[in-house]
Amino acid sequence: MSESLPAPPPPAPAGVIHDIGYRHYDGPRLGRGHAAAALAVHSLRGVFGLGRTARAKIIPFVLFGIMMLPAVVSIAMMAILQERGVRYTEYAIVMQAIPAIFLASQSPYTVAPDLRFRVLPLYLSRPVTLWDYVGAKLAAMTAALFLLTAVPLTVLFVGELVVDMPGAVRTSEYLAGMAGALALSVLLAALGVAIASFTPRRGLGVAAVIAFYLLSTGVSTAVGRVLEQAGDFAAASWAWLISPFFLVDAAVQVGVFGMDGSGPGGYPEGVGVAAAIMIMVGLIALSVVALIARYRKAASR
Amino acid sequence: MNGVIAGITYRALLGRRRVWLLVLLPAVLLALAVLLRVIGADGERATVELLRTFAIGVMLPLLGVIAGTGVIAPEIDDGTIVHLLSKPISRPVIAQTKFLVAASVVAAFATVPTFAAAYLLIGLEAGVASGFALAALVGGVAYAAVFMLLGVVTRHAVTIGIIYAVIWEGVVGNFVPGARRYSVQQWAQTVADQVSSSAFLTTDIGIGFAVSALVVVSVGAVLWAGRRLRSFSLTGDE
Amino acid sequence: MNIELAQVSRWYGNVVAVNDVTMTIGPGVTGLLGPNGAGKSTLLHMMAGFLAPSGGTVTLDGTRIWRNHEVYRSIGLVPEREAVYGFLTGWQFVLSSARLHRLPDPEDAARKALALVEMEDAADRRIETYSKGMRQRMKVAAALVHEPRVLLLDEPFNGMDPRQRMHMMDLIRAMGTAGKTILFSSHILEEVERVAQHIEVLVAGRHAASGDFREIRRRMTDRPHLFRVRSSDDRRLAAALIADASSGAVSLTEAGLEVRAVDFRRFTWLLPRVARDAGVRVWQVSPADEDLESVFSYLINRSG
Repeated sequence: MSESLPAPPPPAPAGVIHDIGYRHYDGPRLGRGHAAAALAVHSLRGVFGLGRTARAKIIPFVLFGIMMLPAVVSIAMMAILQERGVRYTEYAIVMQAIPAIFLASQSPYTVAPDLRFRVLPLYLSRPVTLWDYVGAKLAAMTAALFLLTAVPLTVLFVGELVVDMPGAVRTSEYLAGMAGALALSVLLAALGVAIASFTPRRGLGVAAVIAFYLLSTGVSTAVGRVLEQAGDFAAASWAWLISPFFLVDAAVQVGVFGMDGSGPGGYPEGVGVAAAIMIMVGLIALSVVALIARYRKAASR
Repeated sequence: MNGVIAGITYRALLGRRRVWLLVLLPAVLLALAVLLRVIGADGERATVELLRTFAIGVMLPLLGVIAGTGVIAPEIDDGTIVHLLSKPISRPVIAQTKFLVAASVVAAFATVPTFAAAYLLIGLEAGVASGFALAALVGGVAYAAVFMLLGVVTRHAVTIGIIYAVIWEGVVGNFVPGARRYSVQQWAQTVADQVSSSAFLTTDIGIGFAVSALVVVSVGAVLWAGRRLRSFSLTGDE
Repeated sequence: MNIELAQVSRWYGNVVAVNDVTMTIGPGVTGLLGPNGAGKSTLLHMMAGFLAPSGGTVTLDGTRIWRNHEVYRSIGLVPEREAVYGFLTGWQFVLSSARLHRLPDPEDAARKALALVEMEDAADRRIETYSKGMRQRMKVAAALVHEPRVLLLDEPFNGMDPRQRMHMMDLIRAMGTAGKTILFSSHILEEVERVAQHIEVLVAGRHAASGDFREIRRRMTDRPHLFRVRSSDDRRLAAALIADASSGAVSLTEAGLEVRAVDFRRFTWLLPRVARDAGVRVWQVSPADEDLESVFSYLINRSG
């Protein structure tokens, strides 16, 4: 029956671009600041495993839970025994293994995948600059660490207000603790992200950051103790500053706020306070410079 | 033991950035020993303290994590392990080879510097140098086995490894007496105590328990890793 | 040698990746065809001993493949991921493969394998300097070094340029002609068409088709198709359609017309013309047999 059918239509033009409905975006754009902020928020969520697999949430949230324990126990002690538990300024120092592990396990996440899969040029083809990128990653890690260290302090403080202990509320100690937590977060984040950025392998990054923590505390403790045994307390007071936790304690909580130290021994006084602050700021600056240098190199590939 | 696998594994472990971390740790130990010597705090007590807290307490578990997971976890991560597993070689032999590489690296990077640090401070006095060197050797072997097993079992081997090393061995093991019986560091120190006559080194675990625990843990971890490799599955990316 | 799959299923939790597949892969080249996510890799991993079937058995000439490292004497595997050590040179990589197989003359075997994939010139460079196609060929060389009788390749042409692709296709065809059992997976029809006469089609984890490539293609297009047509005047359209031999049966239902098309190509060509001539406006034409349709549209769309 095919003979009775009409002949096929003449062939179409050799080439044609079909309009299949794609549209340009002509609306307003939010710009560089928003892009950097979006990157920071995305990284912060990622540090806590949000938007990642269920397994990625386990470690950050378990560590966060452990970090909360002393606050809960202290509130219970205040309520039941009318006794104060852990002090605000010593909280992060007593629990230092937890922020350290958190830093080691999560800071490689913020930088390693981007390096490994070489997506940096994709970020930098946006309005985002290298400084924005590094700043966003640092801000995310700092915020994560601050949440980890400041939330228990705040919960403890609210608990103290609610329980209504005899005696004055330790507001100034709480504020010193918060300032210490902030300084500690900035310092640890800068160091951790800088160290982690030197390898695209996550496992090696974790090992390198924890090695930094264990080495600094190990050297600080070993040297400090031996010096104290030798009777040289002035030198020992400097040795404690090798540990980032005692450094922040000495610089901010003791130095600026005049609280009691939480280290194993005394910290240097007078000029020593200024020196501790200088060391702390210097370490942060050094880390940022190292990060920028590292990413200049990575972005050029 | 398979020579080809060992060769590739040594190159993967020592040929890249990982090796700098492996060198850094003993370097810090030796630097500390020199520092103590210079400031004149080179007594037997200070030496034992340094070796106990730093060499066995910090350096050894870190070397164990880096080398133990390093021999296998990166290969599982990027899929190169398939090159070894798709060969007519029994998987337990592959696990044993990887373990020997890790153990030899930990032993070399831990035992020699430990002995050297002690010798630098107090010579061969009271058997401290040889005792701690032996402790570093046996402890390093056990750590290599345990962390290699972790590398086979989980993708978060390094993180879990450091949580074990820092929380269990560092915090719990030093403060909770009962937990000490289940700590590689404490077993290693018991071995050091057995060899050394130093009065500054005391341990509270029997040598029999420590030695058998070290053997059971090392052998058990390697066997288990071999078993797990037999059922190694390739699945999609995370 | 034959790889036999008997009622093989594989599930991950609640997700079924491979569902009750029975097939035999014999000598010659077989293409494992299916869209991305159809379960090709899962099936291939089970054949390669890198995944346990949740149900059923996977055997090589009667011996179990899972947890049996002896099968690798006969099997060569080219995985999809870049399973190569970047710090080795190509030569070292292929030689290590030969040594791991404990071949009597590993250097000679490595040389032959490198020649097969034409990679002698780059053999002394580190693999991390290679392009993706070069790495792919190096993986093939490492898998061929012990002259396996069975070769499994997961998406082997990915990342190759057209010339490399042609060369690899020739190589695979030649080995198939030589009597080796070769299975390769692909989601691109042209690749399969050029290399394999025999194909196995996997769609959504199920074994959708099996046999000679052209035969399957013909069956897919020539089978009767059921269409549901809605128009401005169903009755008039039905009358016009029934007049043509390509519409086997037309029935008028509440939901519109149901047309059984015997000759698919002719029907799709015919329908708009008949409607235009009859002055009927067609609103909707949809296939009523959705299940086979997915296979079908996959095959004729010629892409993943």
